[in-house]
Amino acid sequence: MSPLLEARDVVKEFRGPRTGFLGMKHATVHAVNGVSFTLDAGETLGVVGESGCGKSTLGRVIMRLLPATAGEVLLGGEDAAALEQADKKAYRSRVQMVFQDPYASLNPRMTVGEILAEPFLVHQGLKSRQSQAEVGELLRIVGLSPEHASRYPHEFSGGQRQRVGIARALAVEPELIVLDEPVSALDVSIQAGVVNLMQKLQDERGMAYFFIAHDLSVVRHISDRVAVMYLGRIVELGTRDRIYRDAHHPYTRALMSAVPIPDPTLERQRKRIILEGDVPSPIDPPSGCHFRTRCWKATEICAEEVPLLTGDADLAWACHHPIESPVKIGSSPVPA
Amino acid sequence: MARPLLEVSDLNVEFRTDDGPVQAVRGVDFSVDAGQVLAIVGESGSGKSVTAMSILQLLPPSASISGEVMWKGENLLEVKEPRIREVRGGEISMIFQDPLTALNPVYKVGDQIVEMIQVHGRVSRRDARDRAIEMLDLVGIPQPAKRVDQYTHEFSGGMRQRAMIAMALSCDPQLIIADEPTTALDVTVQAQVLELLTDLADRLDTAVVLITHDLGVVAGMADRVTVMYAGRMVEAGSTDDVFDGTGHPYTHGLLMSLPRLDSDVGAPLMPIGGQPPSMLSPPPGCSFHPRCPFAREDLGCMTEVPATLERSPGHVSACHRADELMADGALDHRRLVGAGRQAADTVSVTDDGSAPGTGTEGGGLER
Repeated sequence: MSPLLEARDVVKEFRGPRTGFLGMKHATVHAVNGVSFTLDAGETLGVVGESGCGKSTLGRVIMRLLPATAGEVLLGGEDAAALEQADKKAYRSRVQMVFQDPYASLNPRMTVGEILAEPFLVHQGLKSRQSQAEVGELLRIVGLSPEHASRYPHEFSGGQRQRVGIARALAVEPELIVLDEPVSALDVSIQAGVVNLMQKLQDERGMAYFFIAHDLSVVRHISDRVAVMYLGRIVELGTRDRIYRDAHHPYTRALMSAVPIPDPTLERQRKRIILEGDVPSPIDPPSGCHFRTRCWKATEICAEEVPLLTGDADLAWACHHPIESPVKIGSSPVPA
Repeated sequence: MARPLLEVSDLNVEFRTDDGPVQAVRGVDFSVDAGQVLAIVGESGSGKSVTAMSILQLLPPSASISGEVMWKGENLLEVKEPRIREVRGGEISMIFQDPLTALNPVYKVGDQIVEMIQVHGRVSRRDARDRAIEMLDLVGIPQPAKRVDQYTHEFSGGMRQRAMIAMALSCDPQLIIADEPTTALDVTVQAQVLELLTDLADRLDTAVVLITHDLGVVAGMADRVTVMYAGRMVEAGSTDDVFDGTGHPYTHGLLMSLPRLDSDVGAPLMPIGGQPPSMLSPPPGCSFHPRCPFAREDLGCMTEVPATLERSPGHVSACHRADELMADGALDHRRLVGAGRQAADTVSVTDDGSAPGTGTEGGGLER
């Protein structure tokens, strides 16, 4: 059986700032640089990386908000671009998205009831009165109450708004939801409730999540499998347990060691891997391994050859000098 | 005992708004000793940034402030403009969350540091420029002699934050107030900047007031912690006391709601139910009571503001039930979350055999 979603060598380039004589040419921004992965039905793939690694662009390519420059995305074994061109509505009823900023992604001039009724009007041709019951049910499912339908987004807190965003994505009963940093704008006490809600909804309805985040702790909590991205490429891909206990790529190690843990005793014992400098520009990425300019293990081969993902389905890394000892936090291994 | 470097007592800040007065800070006390790192933790709207801004009279005229901010024997809330300008940057400097808005985009980075140095001392332009280059070098900016003549847009996010730290340190302040200094940064850059800040503060013996929402950052950096909720201080103490001997249900709730790298994978997150209160009409009694799983009407949680009492030497909290809850272990997040691995030298607190996430009233935090 084919996976629900498959990406094959997806490339996305943007036209960058003008360069050359009289600015006649444009530089190319290599946002996503040959990414392949699969996502099964009902599964959560967490995608982590820092600003500019291409994780959000990848999410938008999957959502078909952006066309891929090269490579293909398959949904249920069929070409997503063709599916979407043939019938946009049908594609959108299978793949939905929740955005990072719950303040910007809801129309401030519409009531929450109107916002949530839209999917029913568009996809099922219901009249707004007919959709009222569905809207009430959706609100209840995401932990709000049907009376909230007559209010406007500004009357809600950030966490409640994000619940509305999730309800809107659920309305068409999609097979896949692309979640782009869904909890990073929320306070921690609120974030936990939204994360729990997303997990509960997945248990009940079985849709797959493409979960984009920069927070490794949240990704560990919610994902079945994890992809780590750096400057447009997947540098490590594996099951959640293997990634967090056994990551082989120096970048994954550095990311994990940089995450602060709310435990003073442990923090005092930890030895951080402090990376030098900043992420290079995606306009002119380093040759070979993109991470080599900040990597403490880099040698000549890293500048010459692009490392390919090697390993197996449980853990694959793209590195010439993988680290094989288990990941430790302080003096102990990561709990399973 | 020597007097603390900075001593804030009974700080109250009220804003006039069209919807009525908002009491953003209500009776906050804290002090910082020389060379110490104090973290003020809270979520959006807890009043932590307003507290920081009031120290240097940086609040807009719509704010009315009362209380005392004692600095070297004078109350900074009462000193006149020329004196506060000496203090700002010279004795106490600030690092803001967003360096892009805190730095001026139309002046060279170096010129902004030079300006600051010249405001605070009779220094020639050339000497000030040398000092600016030295400071940029100190914070780890490569090619400082070239970077000094660049503009902020030519700097990356992490470098801008380094430049702001360089500026903050350029006049040898005794105290730095850092308001969410790494919130806008990626995690690997955050690690760089925090290490730099701790290292410099340590070497130059500068005290730091760190305003943050991130308990992980607090655990790694702070000597002491003050936790704020709805404008009030709910708990304060040494970092170890607050994390390992938590004395307030809100602090406990924050610790329980965090996903962490070192917890057992299956352990559920325990959100704090409800929503943060509106500061226009904060709840009566303990501000946290509508969201508190331990609140009891008969003990006065809904009606009486709890007193801030000492729970162990130097560790205070404001909760009607703190003593009882602490004695029961109900505020012990390690026992409840099953924060898997115990650090080698800590007393084991999970050896009572309780399964992760089970236990007393604390288990049912969600709604």
